[in-house]
Amino acid sequence: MSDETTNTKVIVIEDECTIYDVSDFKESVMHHIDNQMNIIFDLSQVSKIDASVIQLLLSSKIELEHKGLEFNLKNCSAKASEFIRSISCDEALLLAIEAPLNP
Amino acid sequence: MDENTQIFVSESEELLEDMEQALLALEASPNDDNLINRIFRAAHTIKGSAGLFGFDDIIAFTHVVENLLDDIRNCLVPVSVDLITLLMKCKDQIVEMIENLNSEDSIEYPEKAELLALLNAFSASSSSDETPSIASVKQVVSLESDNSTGSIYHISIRLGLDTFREGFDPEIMFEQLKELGTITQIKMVQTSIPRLSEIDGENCHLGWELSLDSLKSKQEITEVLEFMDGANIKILSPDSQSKDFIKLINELPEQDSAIGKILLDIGAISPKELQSVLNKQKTQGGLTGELIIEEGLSQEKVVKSAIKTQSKVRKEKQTEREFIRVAADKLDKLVNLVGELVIGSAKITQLAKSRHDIELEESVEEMTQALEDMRETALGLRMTPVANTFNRFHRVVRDIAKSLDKKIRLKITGGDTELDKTVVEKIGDPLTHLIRNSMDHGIETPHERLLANKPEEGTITLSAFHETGSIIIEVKDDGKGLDAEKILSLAKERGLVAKDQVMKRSEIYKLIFEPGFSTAKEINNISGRGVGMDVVRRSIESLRGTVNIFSEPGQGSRIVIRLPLTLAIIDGFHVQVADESYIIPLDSMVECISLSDSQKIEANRHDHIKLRDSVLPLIPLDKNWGINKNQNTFEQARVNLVVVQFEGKKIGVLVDSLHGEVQAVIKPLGKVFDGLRGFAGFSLLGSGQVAMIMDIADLAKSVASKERERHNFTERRTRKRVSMTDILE
Repeated sequence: MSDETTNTKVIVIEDECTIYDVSDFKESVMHHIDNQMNIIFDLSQVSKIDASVIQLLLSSKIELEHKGLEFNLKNCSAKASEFIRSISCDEALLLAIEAPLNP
Repeated sequence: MDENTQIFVSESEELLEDMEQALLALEASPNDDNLINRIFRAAHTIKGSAGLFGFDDIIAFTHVVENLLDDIRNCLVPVSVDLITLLMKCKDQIVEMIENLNSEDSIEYPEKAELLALLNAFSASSSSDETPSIASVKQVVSLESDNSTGSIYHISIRLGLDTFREGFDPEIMFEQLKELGTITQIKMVQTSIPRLSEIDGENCHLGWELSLDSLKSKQEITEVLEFMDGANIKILSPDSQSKDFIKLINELPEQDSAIGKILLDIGAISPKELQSVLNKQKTQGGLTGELIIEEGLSQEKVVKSAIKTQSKVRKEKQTEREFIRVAADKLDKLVNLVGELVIGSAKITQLAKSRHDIELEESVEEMTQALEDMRETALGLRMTPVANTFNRFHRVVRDIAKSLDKKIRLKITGGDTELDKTVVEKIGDPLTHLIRNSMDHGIETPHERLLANKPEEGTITLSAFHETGSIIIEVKDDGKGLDAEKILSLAKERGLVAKDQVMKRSEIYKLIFEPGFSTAKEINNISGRGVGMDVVRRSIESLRGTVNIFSEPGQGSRIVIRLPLTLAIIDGFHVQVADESYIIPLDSMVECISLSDSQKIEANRHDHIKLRDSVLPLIPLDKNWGINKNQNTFEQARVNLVVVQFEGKKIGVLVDSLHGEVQAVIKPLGKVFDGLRGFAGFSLLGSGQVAMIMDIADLAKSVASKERERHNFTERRTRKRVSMTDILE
């Protein structure tokens, strides 16, 4: 899903997203960044996520900020937020884990 | 006593001596941490060494002393005069326990229980008044090493690059950390995460900085996190633990260890951390301690403490390498053997001369020179600094001043002056008498001193220095000085001098060295039994020394002890009178003169001659010791004069022949010669002939005594004439 009018791309991560997906995930995100798109990551559909994906989200944030674009996380599923909190990345991802957006 | 116990005793004695010196210094500087640490270390090392040998009584007692010292170190107990007195008594108690180590009987120490009670009373940490058992000591030691207090660790984690590929989930790591304690703070480190365009998504760049409140030790935490291969984990122990680490460093056995090993042993760093530092050191160089601080593996103060300990141990090891402990009797044997060599060498020299073989003479000359060096070196081995004896008196002065209610300071100068070991050992008791006398009779009470416009605190100065082949030891005080009138009147009363005898002040002062003389009104346990000064004089004379006293009323007294440098071998000058050989100590010789005929006549008629506008008293040896001179008159004899000097006074010794310098091995005279005056011993010459060694001090005294007798006789005769005239008138 994308919002071309506002120059923002919403990327929805679905089901399991792990180290096996990071290469494709990186390519996709880079494509939008190269097109100067702000990106919103929607984690509402996540059933499983791992640390390599969290690292890639952080790396995307750094890249976007470097390019003057916006990074946002939206609708963390319970599984996603639990994992992010368990490895203490919530602050780094600027995520209000205490109150998951989409329990 | 077996060899190991001997080593323990010897080392403990040194440590206890050092402990006493530090305690005395602490009285003047109660906040000096170095002194407190020195005292603590002494007690701690003795306890540790006693543990090695199983001296349970010493372990138990020193443990309690150590507890109190630890409280002092941690500023829990303030340093006070009473506390120092208690610690000195404890030091004495340990000395006594060590002295009795060899005893087969069970020794009772009546003061020990009281000392333990006092130690516990002073201690801030102990409420027990019971003697701790060895088991309880071990338990305490075990508890001391258990870091069982809840502490905040700072942990840095950087996961390895292959963490994701290896299927490791950081979630497990956090679960483990939560089992170790509570994460009170955490921050993810993003700085090492590359931008998306640059990242390989399978490489791991995650890291955290966190605070963990844990009851576990650093080692335990390290072990739990060890499973994370490739991760760089640094665990910084809490600040509160720095103190424990520093304490552990201080308690480590004093062996030369690398900084890394010291920090590893106390648990400040883990083996893995050390390995990473060593790897870094291999590639980048640098010092281990600096790298550990740089890497944030341990607190700077802990590393610095380890560096300090390492330097200290290395310095001590260096010192140990410079010194070897040798039994004193082995040194004595060596000196005796060198003495025999000297005698043998003299024989060879004489034989070589008689053969008229120049090559042989030259070889013998070389050997003699080497032997002379060897003699100097061998005698040097017996020389020890007088400070070993002098430093003991700080305690004596402190304790006696307290008992006399006086304020007295002991000042020591020239403590590094060296003296023959035997002399150093034997001079201790006479000096104790002299110092006690000065404190008791010389130094006034604070009130009296203030009235006399003197500082409240009196000073006793104990000094040592070299002077023309002798060592001078002075005991000087700034007290009231000797009362010459009182001394003379007492000496007359006790029949030590004739009722009508007139004496110079300096002569009156010397009366205090007479047996049975004392001016003290009351006999006390410090001085005043009238035996001290007599014993002092005899002790010093037995060391071939002399003692003199100088005093100024109201200003103080100065007792000067002159001692020979060595008791074994001296450089002498061989002279002959008739068939007898004598040796004059070279350091007392001034010059040799061949007398002119007129001087011969003068010397024969009088006991003196005129030498360069001054009168020189003579000692005619043939007359003095009844030697058959085989000469009819002095005018016919070829007479040589040897001018010797003692305490600034010159005396002439008349002899027949001058044979030159010799090295004389001093052999003591047997008891049969006890009454013989003027000889310090005898020596064997190269020819095998016996030569008596002249005691110049004694000869000078006999000259002085004869002069005094003549003076008194003349005076009495004059006075008698006067009184006869009075009667006639």
